[in-house]
Amino acid sequence: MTPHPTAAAPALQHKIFGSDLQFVEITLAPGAEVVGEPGAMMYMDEEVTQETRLGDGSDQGFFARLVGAIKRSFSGESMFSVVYRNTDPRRASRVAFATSTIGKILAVDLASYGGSLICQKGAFLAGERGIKLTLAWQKKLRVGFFGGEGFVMQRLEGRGWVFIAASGTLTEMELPPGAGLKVDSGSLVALQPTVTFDIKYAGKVKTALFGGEGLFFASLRGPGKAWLQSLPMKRFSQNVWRSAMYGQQKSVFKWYLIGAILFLIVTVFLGGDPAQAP
Amino acid sequence: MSGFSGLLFGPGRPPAGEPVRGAFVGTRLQVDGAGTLRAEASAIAIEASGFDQDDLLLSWTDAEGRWGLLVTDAPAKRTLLAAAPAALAQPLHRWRRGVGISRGIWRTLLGSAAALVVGLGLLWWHYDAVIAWGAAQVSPETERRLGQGMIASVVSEGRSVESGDALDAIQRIGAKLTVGARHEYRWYLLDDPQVNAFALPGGFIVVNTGLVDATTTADELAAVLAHEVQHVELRHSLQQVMHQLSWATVLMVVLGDPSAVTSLVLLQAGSSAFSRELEEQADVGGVAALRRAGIPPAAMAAFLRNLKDRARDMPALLSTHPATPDRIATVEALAAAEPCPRCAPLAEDWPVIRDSLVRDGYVKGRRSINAQ
Repeated sequence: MTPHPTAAAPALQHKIFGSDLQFVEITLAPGAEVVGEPGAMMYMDEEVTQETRLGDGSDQGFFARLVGAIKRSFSGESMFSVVYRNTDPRRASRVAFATSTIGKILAVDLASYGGSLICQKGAFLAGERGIKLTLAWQKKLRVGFFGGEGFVMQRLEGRGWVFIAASGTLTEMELPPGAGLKVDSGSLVALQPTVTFDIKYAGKVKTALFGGEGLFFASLRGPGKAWLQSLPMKRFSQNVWRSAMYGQQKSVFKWYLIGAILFLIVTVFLGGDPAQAP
Repeated sequence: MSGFSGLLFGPGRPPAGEPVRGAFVGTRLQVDGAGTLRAEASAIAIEASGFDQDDLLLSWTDAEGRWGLLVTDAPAKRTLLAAAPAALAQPLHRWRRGVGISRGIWRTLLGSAAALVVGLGLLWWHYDAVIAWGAAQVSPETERRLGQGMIASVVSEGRSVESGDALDAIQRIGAKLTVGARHEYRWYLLDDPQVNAFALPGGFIVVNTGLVDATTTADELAAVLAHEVQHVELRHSLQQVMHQLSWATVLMVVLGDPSAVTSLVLLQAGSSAFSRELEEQADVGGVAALRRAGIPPAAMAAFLRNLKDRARDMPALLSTHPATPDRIATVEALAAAEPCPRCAPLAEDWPVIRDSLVRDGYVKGRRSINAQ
């Protein structure tokens, strides 16, 4: 007799390992399933089988799944997902997923957030079977252009646990109704759909040009929770690129600027009108 | 009192919000859930909320902390809008306008994208009609300037014959054919052994020496000229240039090289074919023009048959003017349907004119006809 998962013994338990570069080990009850992104699996017990499915693994007709898969691919995920199933009739088995970025894994029980969560593109790592991954289209043009997340984010819908990849250190922000938080664009990992995501003008051109934060902040307003990451991949990769290029690529623009300023000073203060020169 | 459903956020409430019912009692908001909360309308702030920023958030602060009532579903929003006291009318109106503007922007964007797609589709579908319509909008002066530019580049190649009996004959015959035409026609003779003739927009007709030599009578040359003149009169040449320009523009955008495109258009000018339909139109118009000029209309069929018999010698003209049997049949039927009793063959001494080409060195490889 196959013991069915009950409320007392949840189908899925998880434990996150590591401090800065994490992986999540999920323990599956007999017969339980978990959906993972292709390529995210780190190890699994022998009793766990893998099945690749088109779309998010939810039970739908082929056409609906195809449309879902295309939407899914636009939200930064693969068109396919892999369903891991514990085939052992008696004992629990394990499967582990690791992030591809330098950072933490956020484990969220969707049920406790009203069954819906919006994440940054490509954030989904794994989740309980039946969780739908769709596209969250940013309707505000200004947010789409300057919010740092683009026009497309991910919407996770359903009940159960999802595991989301963030880069850097993760922090959770509880925003009371109407309370705002200014965030560097790109730091946003996930937010409850009740949170308002907008942009705020940085205020001063000087800050925008030399403050290093860009012309706009992302602005979050409650009610709801938002999760932030300390090291957006974009910022990190820019730094790595700059370091990798050190000594190879001179900062041409800086010298050009200095040259232009010097030239201006020389022509304005020292030079005469060349047309009148003898 | 009419109530509306919403989610209550605040101290001690679940992170996903507590499902509650709200209602306005006088100027106060009453929220019924696990407990009952009350707030004065004047103390309530209203803002657009949620990821799509089309939900309504009513927020206020009391001794316990900060509260928020989020109204997400459409009927509840309508009830709220209808029931709200006057103090909240202005912020609610602002919210509504904000949502309307946001929707308007997307509708406009999607609408223009759809219009663009439909427009391009129509253009693709009715391409010929669009080009013909475009050609009809071009004034005769513009058409002439366009042709002038093109003929200048043809002449600048240095193969243009500036004088001689043949050119004089072409001009004489052409003048007869273009009485009362839309344009003032100019005639060019090109030193080219290929049997070919073409028309540029604005009334520039170019005839190769090879073609003059291939005609057996002056009437046959008149038939060719009448045919080419019709291409100009019916704006076929203009349509073709516009068609090439439109493709050239596409090419230019794709390749990013304007000079290559210009030369491509010029190269195409003399060598590309009109559609069969346009050729037939020019044949029909040409036969009528011959009759008007008092030249036997049968000359058109005679020339086409001449072409067909000598098909192997003249690939150039045939590539642009296919002498198909049905084309010959059409012009023969046209000529037979309406005999022209007053028409008479042109009084040109054709062998002499053809010989002048040999004498002036344009036609090689054969001896003078008179000497034979």
